[in-house]
Amino acid sequence: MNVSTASASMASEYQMQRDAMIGSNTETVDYGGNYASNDYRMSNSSSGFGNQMDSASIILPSSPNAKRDDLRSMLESSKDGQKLEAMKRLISMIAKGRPSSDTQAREMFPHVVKNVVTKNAELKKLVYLYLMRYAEQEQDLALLSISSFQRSLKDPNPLIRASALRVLTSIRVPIIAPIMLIAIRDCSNDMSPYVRKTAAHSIPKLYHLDPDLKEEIITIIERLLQDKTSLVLGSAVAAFEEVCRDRLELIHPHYRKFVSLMADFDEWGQVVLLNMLLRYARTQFVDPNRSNQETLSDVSNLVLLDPDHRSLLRNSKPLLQSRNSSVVMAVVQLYLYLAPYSEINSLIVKPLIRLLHTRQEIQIIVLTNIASLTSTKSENQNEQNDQGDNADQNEQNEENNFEDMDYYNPRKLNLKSLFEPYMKSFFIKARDSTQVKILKLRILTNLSNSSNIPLILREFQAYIQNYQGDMEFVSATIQAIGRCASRIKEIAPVCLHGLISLLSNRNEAIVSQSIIVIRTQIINREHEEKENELTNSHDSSVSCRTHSIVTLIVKQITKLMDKIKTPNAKATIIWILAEFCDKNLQALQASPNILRIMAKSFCTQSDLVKLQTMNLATKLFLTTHPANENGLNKNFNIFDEKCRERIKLLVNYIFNLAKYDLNYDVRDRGRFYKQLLVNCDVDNGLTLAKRILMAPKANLKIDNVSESNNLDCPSKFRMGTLSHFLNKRVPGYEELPNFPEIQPDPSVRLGFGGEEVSGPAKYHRIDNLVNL
Amino acid sequence: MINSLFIINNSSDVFMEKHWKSVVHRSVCDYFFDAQKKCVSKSDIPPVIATPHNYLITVYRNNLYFVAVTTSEVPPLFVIEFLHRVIDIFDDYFGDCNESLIKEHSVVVYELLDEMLDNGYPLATESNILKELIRPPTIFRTIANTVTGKSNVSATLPSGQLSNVPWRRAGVKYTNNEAYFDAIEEIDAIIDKSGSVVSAEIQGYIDCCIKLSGMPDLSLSFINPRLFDDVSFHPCVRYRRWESERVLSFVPPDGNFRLMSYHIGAQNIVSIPIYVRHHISFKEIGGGRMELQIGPKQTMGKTLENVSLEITMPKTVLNVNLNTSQGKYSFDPVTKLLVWEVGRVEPGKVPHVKGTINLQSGAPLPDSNPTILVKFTINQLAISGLKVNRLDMYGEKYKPFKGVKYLTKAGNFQVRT
Repeated sequence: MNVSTASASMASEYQMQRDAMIGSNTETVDYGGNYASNDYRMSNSSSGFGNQMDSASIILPSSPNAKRDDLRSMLESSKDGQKLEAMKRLISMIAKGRPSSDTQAREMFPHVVKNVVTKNAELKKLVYLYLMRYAEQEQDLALLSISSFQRSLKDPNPLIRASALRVLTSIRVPIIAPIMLIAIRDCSNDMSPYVRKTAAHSIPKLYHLDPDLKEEIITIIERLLQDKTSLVLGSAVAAFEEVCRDRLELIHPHYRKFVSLMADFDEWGQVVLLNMLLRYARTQFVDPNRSNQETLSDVSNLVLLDPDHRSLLRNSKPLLQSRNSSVVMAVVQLYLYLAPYSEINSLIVKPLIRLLHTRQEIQIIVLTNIASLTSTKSENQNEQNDQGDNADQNEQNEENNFEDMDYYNPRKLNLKSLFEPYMKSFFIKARDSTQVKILKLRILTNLSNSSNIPLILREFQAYIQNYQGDMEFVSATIQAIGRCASRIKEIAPVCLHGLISLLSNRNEAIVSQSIIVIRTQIINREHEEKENELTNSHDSSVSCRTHSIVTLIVKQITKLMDKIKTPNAKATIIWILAEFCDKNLQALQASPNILRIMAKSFCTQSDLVKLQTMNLATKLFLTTHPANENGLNKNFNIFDEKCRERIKLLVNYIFNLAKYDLNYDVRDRGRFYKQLLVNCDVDNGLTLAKRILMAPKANLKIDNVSESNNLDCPSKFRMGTLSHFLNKRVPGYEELPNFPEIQPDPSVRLGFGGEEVSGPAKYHRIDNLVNL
Repeated sequence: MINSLFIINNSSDVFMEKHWKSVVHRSVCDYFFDAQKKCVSKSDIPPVIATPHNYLITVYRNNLYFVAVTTSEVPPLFVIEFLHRVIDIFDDYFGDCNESLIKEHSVVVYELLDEMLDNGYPLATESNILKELIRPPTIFRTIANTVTGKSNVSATLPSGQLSNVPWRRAGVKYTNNEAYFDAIEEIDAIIDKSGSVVSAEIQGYIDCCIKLSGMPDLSLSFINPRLFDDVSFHPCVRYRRWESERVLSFVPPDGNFRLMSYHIGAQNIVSIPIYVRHHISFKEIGGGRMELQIGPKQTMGKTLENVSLEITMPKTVLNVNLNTSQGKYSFDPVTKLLVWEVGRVEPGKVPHVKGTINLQSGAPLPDSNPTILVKFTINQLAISGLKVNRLDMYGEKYKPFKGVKYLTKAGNFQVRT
């Protein structure tokens, strides 16, 4: 008693001095104050801090000073009502969080801390709220309140015990860690489950304050894990996860209890529990997909699993029906990483589809996850296999590879086919935000196959028709058509035709975007063709088809030449012509005319177009060069002497223009080309020039990936995590452990597992009553 | 898991903050504002923003941004669900959730936030428990408290917190015992240009208002429970009973809550109760013409009510001149939103609208036709054909009044033109 009053008076004295200091400080800042306060400040500062004058005795209405004095006198008053009013004002100042009100609120600390002993429930609560906010900054003064908490911890009312523990452990002052430890230990043995729950919540706070106490803390967690009420267990598991997530042996004796009580946990507890059990199961059970054929039991068509493994899957299944999306996601994860592939079916797909009809933020997260579930990249799998074979070679990489393989494990079963029946749920709606639209496009692209592509393409066309208000989305749609084409070889012609029809669209942005996508498409196709030729040279039908497509494209784009204004698209058209003028008759026929048109307007074009025009000029020159004759296909020999002469003149004209261009890139390129061409008539200058200028193009795949911004690559992170969504490692992210090779001893779970638990028993009883 | 929460209004003002661990300075919101600047619309903000030391998880609702700050790995859905739950609780407490209400009740809000989360981990999120801990502000109680000196904060532990049914408080008493069930179905559909259905789904809810004394144990059964593609339940529903018998058996929370939501789509055929005939064309000379006609279809004898059509016109449209056979139309020249309020569609009548569209002269013709969003409601009908069979009550002696209401409405119902 004595001590506390003494310290309180000390505190108030200390505060007075501080007030005088702060008072002068704030007023220098506060220019809006009245003159009186200004005068006061001057006299005060001139006489120094030792001034006997009490700052509280000067009453200045409407100045912050006065407000503070007001608050102080209210806090010091004997009436609870006044104190309460003052506390309410302080709390709303804290809630606002503005720097000015923040410092003001903080200054009241010594006056507030005295009220911690109050009997009034609301006042007490507000004082606690205040202490939690500022105790860290006012450590010395906060210590004054400790004794009062210790007294409250012995209170017969569990609510008071619990809230005292909460505040005590929320005061982040390292010196009191031992006191906290004792308090938590006592409360973890409390009669009331609510207090025990609070004790579990307090554990992580203490752990972060003083990690050296880890061993003591773990013994408390061990005790809390033995609890029988789901209320406490949820928080105990959360504490376990925060403090000692690697000590899975603590879970052994309680595993069966957790599995059977799962449905009784609150939603938040369920999420934490499911995540913990997933990790546990990955270390305690063998991979259910390792040796499927042998273990298939003939009775129920279910894969034979450890009974505990099976009960985990069975008991978590109903939680897919939870209203809480994060519970659903946790169960989906559990199934993906633990269940035999034969049992992963529409069961997990339907709830995910349901979540698409909830809030937008949830939609975005769920769509991101579906997008990576449905994406398969054949190269990735090949790579993995290769790496798997070479695993012995470099041990450093070995670990990574195996991990990778594990992450792709779920994708070995065909998740895509599970989502295909729900394709229509991913069709874009008018009110979807751009983010949602683009994610849905990704999923639709992933789901496309030769049977549903007509439907998807029709949808894409409708989007391009209807949503031109959102150009970002429209260009994404056009790119998506291109991606569909490169994903599935058989449908590529259909997609290309779709893209070509877009070329006649009135909107120029759409046309330009389509041309750019078409370009990457034809380059890729050319490559495949070459590969095909290498593997089976007799199959020429494919190459014929590509050629007819190129012809078609060339026909379309030459018509567009006058309409298109976007430099990028224009340059692309010229590039396509140049690329194909030695391979495609249509291109060769069209090129001279286009070159003529470009020559006319060369000076006014953008640099990009100029460069491509020169490219076309050079290639056309090389293709039509007379020395070429025997090397070229006879069909391509369509120009007579007169034409060739004219082309030569045209080419010369363009290079002359380029010589005097403003841009030195253009000038440089012009000189370079010209030198190459001049030498054509000498020796084997032509072959050399061709080797430089008409070398086969490198594969565009790398380009493609960077362009699409890893849209096609499945994330390497665990589903449903923050890291997965951001596609980068977030602190605290943890890889899933690999299944053990040999089944660990299952008898470790026997421990207390056999005993009956109180929670669900009651449930069953009610159920039975109803049945009767 | 959650370190701090900031509430931000539409004019980028951080007007409320709460910290559950060490204080995170509000300057962290600058990253949020940066991301916001990059977005076209207000709702398009990414739900997760990575900053050098923290991660911001944002929820946008009621024109407010709720920004949670976390420093380490956490399931993003966990935080998003929690934030939405917070807003639901505010709604429940103050009747709405907007800036002025939150500012007015800042102390209660602060207390609530503190009760809902301890050290960043959810503590009590059931509205029934919270309401026992912190009583919702009412005018009457404010006056009574000032007179009697009583407080809004409970001094005892809520009874529900410890029981097996944490969502229900003990000692509930009503003079009239009533249980109302609203089966609400929303149709999400995309109709293409030619009038054929591209996709149609039903999102249904069963919302309850239950005012029953004591500890009633209810079971609700449907005539055709096989209809549901997928369902989700309030935690009070016993999963096993549903799995085995398709009966909803539960001890209800007190008051209003959502018992169940369900999804019917993809596999089942959904009937579309309305048709829209449309003709919208833009021409250089004389602007453009539009003609719309709507009518009921497969409504099972019920009438369409509160029908309205919304069309966002292309930017070059200056004005529209329309003649309506029924209802009123309005056009906002700034947002280019054309709304035709049709109201009730009497049987036998075919409301239509016809007229011209004025285009900005000289500007190129619009490239795309707009999408028509259709709104309607149908009373006394669940379009999926869902029917409640019976409701039985066990555990209490009295006879409650039981009522079921059906309602069908348009969710995201769009017609492409």
